[in-house]
Amino acid sequence: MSNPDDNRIQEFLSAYLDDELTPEEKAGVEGKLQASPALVAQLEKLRLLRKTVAMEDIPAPPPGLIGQIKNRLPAGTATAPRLRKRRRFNIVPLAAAAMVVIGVIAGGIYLDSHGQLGELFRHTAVKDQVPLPSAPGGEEEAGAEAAREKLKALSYIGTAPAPGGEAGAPPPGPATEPPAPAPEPSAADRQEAQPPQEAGRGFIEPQAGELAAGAKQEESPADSKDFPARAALQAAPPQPAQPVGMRTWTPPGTGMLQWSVAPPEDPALILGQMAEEQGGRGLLQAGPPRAVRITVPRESWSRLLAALRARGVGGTTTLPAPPEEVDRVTLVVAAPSLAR
Amino acid sequence: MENERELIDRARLGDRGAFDALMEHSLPRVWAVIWRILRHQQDTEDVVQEVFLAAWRALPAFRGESQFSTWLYKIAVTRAVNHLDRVGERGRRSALSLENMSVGDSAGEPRSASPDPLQELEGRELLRRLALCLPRLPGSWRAVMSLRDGEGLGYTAIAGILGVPLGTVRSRLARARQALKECIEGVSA
Repeated sequence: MSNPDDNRIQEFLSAYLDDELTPEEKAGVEGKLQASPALVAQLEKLRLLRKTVAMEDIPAPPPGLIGQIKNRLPAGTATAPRLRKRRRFNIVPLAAAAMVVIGVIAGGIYLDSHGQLGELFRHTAVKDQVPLPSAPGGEEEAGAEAAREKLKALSYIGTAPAPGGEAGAPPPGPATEPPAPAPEPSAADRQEAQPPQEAGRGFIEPQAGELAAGAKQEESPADSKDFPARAALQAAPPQPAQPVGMRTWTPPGTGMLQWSVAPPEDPALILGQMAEEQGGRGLLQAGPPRAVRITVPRESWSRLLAALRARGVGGTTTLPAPPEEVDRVTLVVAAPSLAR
Repeated sequence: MENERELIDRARLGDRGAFDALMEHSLPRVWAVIWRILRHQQDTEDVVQEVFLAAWRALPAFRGESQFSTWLYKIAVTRAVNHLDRVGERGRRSALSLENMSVGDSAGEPRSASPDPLQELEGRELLRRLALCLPRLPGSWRAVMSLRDGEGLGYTAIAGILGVPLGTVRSRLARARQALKECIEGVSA
């Protein structure tokens, strides 16, 4: 066993050598050195050692290294750091906006069915001192038609976004029927940390483009139940073909990965770096539990797992391989020491 | 090199030429710091590449509150020590568990018969033993030695780079030097 006093003396000698002591500490060490030739010998050994370490030959970097790094650097502008806190939306203003839209739609349908839309527009125009365009066949009919088109477009803004966030865009073409208002989002809609899973297989999250374009789907009834916005999306009129989006897979057991990391290490930063090293990204999620959601390309999955295992993240040994058809893989790591 | 501050500002806005200039200027020192920690040519090449890729990505967040070199050292040391952790098995096989070795304990290494072996060693032999013993130190100890004895940084700067208290730098460095000295004295000629 070491003697604590010896350790302390070695610390002071080492710091004295580096001129990193306070004046008082320095005077104390010099007093000891004057009284102890053995201590002077120790100091000289340390000095020789430090000099030897400093003069050690370091091989030069290979000439092609700079070129290799330049080739790996992405072209264009550096991006802002990806690890950031997810913005939490306040549901109240969103719900209020949805109610307004629904009210406008309902009112529009009522007025339209009673032939009062043109009248309404005419009064509005008079009030604003803007003349309505007159058209053969009656200005009221023209105004009603414009209002109908406007309402049809507006109705799509009221469609609840599907996972992937691309469902709210209005279709370019006219629609025949406004879709039914989406039901209240379930807890699974709001809590992305716990997406629904197909038993034992994980969850594949299709993009809006895939659904609308009629692309091949792997959707179970459970999916529709947990993502009610999809029903509204599928009821929407056909859209022009879009590029099929990335398909993201969540392995079964997501949310169960646990990592205990001792301060001062920052699990959010480490996990974010891991994700970036594999070409993905990490997002800090609100709890409980506080967690980092990591999304990486499918081809980086095994490397990410290896990195997580190397850092001692629990629960990684039982995860299955992602299905061939997915593009990205996402998982959630909960770390109790994540800052609140 | 042009004015570093100007290059950093341009690089933060995505100017690859400016970043290339910063990289070329910084490469030798980043390389040396990482090599002293990893002591392995191919691993050093890999980690140096990672460091500059990470620096490019993180540059928009660099606020200039520390020197660019300090910021870069921080990335370099973190990546190098993490790399050692990843290849831990390889390291553990050759290590002597010096982490737990106390001052004054030779950890089972045969001691030289000479009463003062370190000072009797010729320069070349000392370097040979140094090369044998340094890889046996834990990565965190190598990091602090690399920054202090290799780069000549002060304890405060090292504490900032490693994100540890000043006292930890002092104790870690003392333990590293003592363990290295005892290892060198114990290695047979």
